[in-house]
Amino acid sequence: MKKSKILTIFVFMVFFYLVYPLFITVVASFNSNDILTFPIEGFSLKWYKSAFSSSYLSGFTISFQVGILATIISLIFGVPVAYGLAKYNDKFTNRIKNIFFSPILIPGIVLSYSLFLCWVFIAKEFDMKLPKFFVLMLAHIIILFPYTIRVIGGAFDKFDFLIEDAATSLGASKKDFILHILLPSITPAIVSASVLSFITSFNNIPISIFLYGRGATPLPIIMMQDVEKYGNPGVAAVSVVLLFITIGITFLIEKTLGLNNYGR
Amino acid sequence: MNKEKAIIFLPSLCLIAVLVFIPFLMLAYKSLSVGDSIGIANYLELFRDSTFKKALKNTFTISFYVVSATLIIGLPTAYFISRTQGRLKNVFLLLILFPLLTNAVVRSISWMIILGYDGILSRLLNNLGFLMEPISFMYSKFAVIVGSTYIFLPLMIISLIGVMDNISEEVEDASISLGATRFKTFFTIIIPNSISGIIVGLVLVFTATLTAYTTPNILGGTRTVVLATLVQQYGTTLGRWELVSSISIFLFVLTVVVITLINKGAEAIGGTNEKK
Repeated sequence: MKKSKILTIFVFMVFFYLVYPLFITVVASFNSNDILTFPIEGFSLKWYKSAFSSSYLSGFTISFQVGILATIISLIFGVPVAYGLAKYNDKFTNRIKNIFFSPILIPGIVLSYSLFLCWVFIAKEFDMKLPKFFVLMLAHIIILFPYTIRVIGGAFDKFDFLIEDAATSLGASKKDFILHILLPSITPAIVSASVLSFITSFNNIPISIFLYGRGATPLPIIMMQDVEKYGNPGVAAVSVVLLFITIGITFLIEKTLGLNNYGR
Repeated sequence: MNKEKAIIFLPSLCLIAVLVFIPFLMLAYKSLSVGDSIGIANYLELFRDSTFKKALKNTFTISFYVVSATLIIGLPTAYFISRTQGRLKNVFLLLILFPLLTNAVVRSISWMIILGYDGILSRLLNNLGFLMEPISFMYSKFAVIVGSTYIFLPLMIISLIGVMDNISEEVEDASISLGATRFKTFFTIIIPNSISGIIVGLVLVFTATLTAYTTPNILGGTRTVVLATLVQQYGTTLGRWELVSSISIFLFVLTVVVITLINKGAEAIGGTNEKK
């Protein structure tokens, strides 16, 4: 395919637009000055020291734990649903499908607020303050659930359900079928759903806005508050660390699953 | 409902009921309750509230520009990538996907440096002679639009590449050999055949901008308020809780209406919207 020069130049400008800001953040994180500027005044690693300070580290721990737990629970609930939707595919399942995808329609911050109202209600009526970490995790499960069903469902759509009849007629129990046939055939989808879910949970801010609290504040919330208060380069350093973790994960996906299975 | 279906679906139906439907009903109830009675007083007050009106207007202005910009930038870019082969295509896809995997705070910080007081843009305009003194572009509609376009552009491009990959290059070659310019081919062959991807992209970017919180909060602050940031500001900062519920419901209804309208519009012009 021959491409026109104008198009090529245009597209490279677009790539510049996509990459340049990230480049700036990386450079700004090495600033010796106390404010975020570019170009930088002098080279220093002091912001990386602050990036590994206790508040960011505890935020990272919270985000990590919430992400892992929400991903696992969302899979436990989501895999059977994806299986059922693909297998039956009748009037009934088509109708309840919308229920499972309904969280997508509700803006994250609205979901967050509605769960906060429940928290207040339970605290008032039953005199029971649910731990913030627990509520945060429940909220993140809701955000992940539709994505889990979608990614796993993509694998089940290609699954031949006649195999299930074959296995059963040859004497396999339900448990054997699930453990030895069903789950192994969707392992790649489970891996990509897990990675996608974890990253989505880790990055999501709106869903946590009304639910975080002392000792249960996710990392992105801490970063945002620091950015709002003072543009300190410490946040840029944390960003760079996160950027490199993301690059690592992206390459891992590319190497193991291929990008075409991802994000569609 | 037979036994197997019940085992498969019931737990998740309960999960959604407890974590989505009940909280949502509680929110709807709260938005309608005034003291001990039920009524629409909160909504009436909301529509008299000048900050809300401003936020609503900002939200729509920003969404309009972001949707237009992502479409105008996304169409040629997606076309270029879909017509690239081999390893290079993977590199391009990686460059597009990577920002999607990055935190919105991380991506917005860069724009603080570019748009801030005496920042990169301000210096550039100074050097070019458009500006006499350093200024800040932060907390303006412009800042939110530029930042949001940056953040949501990959969504549009990914949606478009999906359909453009399926348009045969032979059709283009036929068009060009019959005398159409490449420019004309793009508008008469590529774009009409990409309608379904365009619709998906429009829905994704529009709803994302409409409900975006992080970018408008960092780049718009309290000066350029949008609906999502207003929910938080009226709640945690200003303590006007009676309005928070009604804004939340309003934002939800708005999202659903926009999605429905775009899909209805798509049906009307004959573009099929296949949900993936």
